[in-house]
Amino acid sequence: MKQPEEKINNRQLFIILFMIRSTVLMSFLPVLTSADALQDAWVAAVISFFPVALLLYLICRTVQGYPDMTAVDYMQNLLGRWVGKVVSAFLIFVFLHMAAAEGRIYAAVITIDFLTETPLVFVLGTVLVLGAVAAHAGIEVIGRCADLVMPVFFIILLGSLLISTPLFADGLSNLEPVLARGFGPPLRASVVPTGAAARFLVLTMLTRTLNQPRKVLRISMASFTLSTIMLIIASLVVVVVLGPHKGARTVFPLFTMIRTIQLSEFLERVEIFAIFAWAFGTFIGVSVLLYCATKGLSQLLGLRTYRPLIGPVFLFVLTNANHTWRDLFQLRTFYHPDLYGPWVLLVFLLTVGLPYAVHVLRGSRSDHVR
Amino acid sequence: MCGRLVAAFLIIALLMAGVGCWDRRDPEMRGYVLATAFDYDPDRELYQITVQIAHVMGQIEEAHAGGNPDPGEPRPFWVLSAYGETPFHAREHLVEGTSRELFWGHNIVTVFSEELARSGLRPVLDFLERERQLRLISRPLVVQGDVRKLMEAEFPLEDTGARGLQRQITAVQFDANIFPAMFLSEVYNQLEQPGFEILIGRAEVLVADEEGGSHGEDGNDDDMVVPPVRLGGAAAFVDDVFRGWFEPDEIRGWHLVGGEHQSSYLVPSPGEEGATVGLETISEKARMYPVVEGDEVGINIELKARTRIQEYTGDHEILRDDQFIDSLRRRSAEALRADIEKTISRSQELGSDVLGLGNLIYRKKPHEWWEIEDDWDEIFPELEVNIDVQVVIKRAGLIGPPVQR
Repeated sequence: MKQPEEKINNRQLFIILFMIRSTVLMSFLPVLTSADALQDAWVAAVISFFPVALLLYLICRTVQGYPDMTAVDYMQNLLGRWVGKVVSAFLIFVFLHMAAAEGRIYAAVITIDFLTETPLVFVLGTVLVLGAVAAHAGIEVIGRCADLVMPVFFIILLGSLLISTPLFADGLSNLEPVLARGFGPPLRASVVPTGAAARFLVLTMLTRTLNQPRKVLRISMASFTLSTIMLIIASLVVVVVLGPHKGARTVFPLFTMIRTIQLSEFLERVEIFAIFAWAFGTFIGVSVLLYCATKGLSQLLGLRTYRPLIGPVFLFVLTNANHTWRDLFQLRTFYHPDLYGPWVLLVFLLTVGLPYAVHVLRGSRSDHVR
Repeated sequence: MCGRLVAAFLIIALLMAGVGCWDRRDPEMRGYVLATAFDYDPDRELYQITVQIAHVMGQIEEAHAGGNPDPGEPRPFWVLSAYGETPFHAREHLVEGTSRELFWGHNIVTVFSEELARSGLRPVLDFLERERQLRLISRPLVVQGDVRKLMEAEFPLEDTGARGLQRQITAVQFDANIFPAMFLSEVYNQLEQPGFEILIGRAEVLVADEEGGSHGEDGNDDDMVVPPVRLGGAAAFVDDVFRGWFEPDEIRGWHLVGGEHQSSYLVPSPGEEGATVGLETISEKARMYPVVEGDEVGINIELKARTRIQEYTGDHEILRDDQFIDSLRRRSAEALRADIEKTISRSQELGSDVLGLGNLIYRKKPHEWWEIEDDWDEIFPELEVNIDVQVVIKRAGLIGPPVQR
């Protein structure tokens, strides 16, 4: 008997996309730490808006052409059976790799800053198990979880940024000079946040589950715009409070910034709330990525349901997250524009550019858009 | 079945996490560091770390004794020192002398000795920044005198020395312009900014004498001061190396240019021999901008201050005499201008740009800064600074003329 199709609404997609992008960008603030933008980090955040908006447009236009299909289906439709399967397999690998990275970054901050003697694999396992359980429960459950944690996530994130406003008067000079070295440094610093938009590839698997797939572009753009605004504010606040050089040297600048805040003698040590928010964001991110990967894999393998794949995929991601990066230095190196830039360019070309180009060339858009 | 197994695993994991600390590092078993001091012995090339640790039993005894414990009773804090080849190494040696694992998350004051400052702060700054338990919201000080004595000093109004130092910094920050109160995080920011040198507040250890007064360790102070520690003045650095002291009256200009806090000053009363007027600024707004013309570099400083009369030792009808107020305003402007000049000339004398005038050029005219950056050390001592001060006297307290007979 065919199982009823799971559905999420637009609000839930909005929240999922917002959390999945904000979490990784806030974690190590790549606009500041991945290159030499220093006080112009906020410019890098602004610059990253445009390529990501274009990317979103391409993804949404392609998936809107095939609203009843996932990426695995329409890739084969557009690129032919075997090439489509290979590109789909690559896309699934990208999902798994992003899930591993998401979990690893979270585990890194926990083991570096809080539970220094806890084995990394334990923290990793905890967050990945939670993600796997949610993925097993299905996208509807993930959507409801996103509904549940979003208020806490957003309030904590905004509160963490607003709490520093009394320090603004003294620190605004840290933002000067603006663009004194031209657009080169912020352009370099915008590579990683642009690449982090690879998380929006989940749209290729989730659009089919939307109850209003026509609105996917509008919802995605709204969510992306909000996350970009938060990123701009975060980069401004960190530079103002910590200073451009100190911020750029710091492994987790947003947390260090929150640790540095002391209002009067009583309001301090509030970074634990930010960790809560991050844990929620990581949970949603990992569960959505595991869901997309296993769903895609089940389609690729011709399985009736994706659920039996959750266990093996969980182990694969756990192993990957633990062993792909030997230590924090390798993790940081991976997110350097010189390495991350070519990688995400390959990802975008294969999984977004190629299908979109074929889609346009075949002129199938007008036939399929509802 | 699978769901039940996962649920059982989660319940067990949560139960294990809830019963207490994994490594039995329970809060009551730890020693809480309240203040940390670093010293350097150049002869032995060793760093010394001295910590003030909260002594819970001592605090209970003191509470029972109403703040006046018997001399034989334990003090509310304990001071411990250790040496090492590096700051981290020294910290590791602390454990040899304590029965409890130290926790650094409540460290509120960080003290550097003059000797350490002269050899360079960088190794200690790196340790402080890298260690996860330490927070950059502690207050930095450079101590003139014996570090150990500062850490052992007792403050009559406070339970621990660290709390006493922290509150004394807050008090002096708001009530007097003689000490640059800042957080450790600001030190890092200033150290890394182009054209900026750090200025860290000075703590002077006072020694009790036989007559019940106290004096500085050099013996030159009068016996009117009785606290264990005096805060005032600051240590100026070039990069991370101590360059010289700023005296308390040389710090006023630093505050005025920063537009921070209240500033009080005395001026001779216009037309009255021997009489003075004490004024206090209500608010200040300073604006600095660089002037670069060809090879000539200069800085303009404009200060607008609103002040009030706090004290008057003459007998003039001050509220009804516009000429008197005008003259007082000019004298006030001159006094504030002199304060700023004093700070600038001391900073030029030391070659330590603690006002960040070079940083101002970098921020406002970065391309010009990059041209002169390498020569800034030679340019700064000769830098021309124009100061324009405007003062408005807004109030004269609760009375007009002073008491008359």
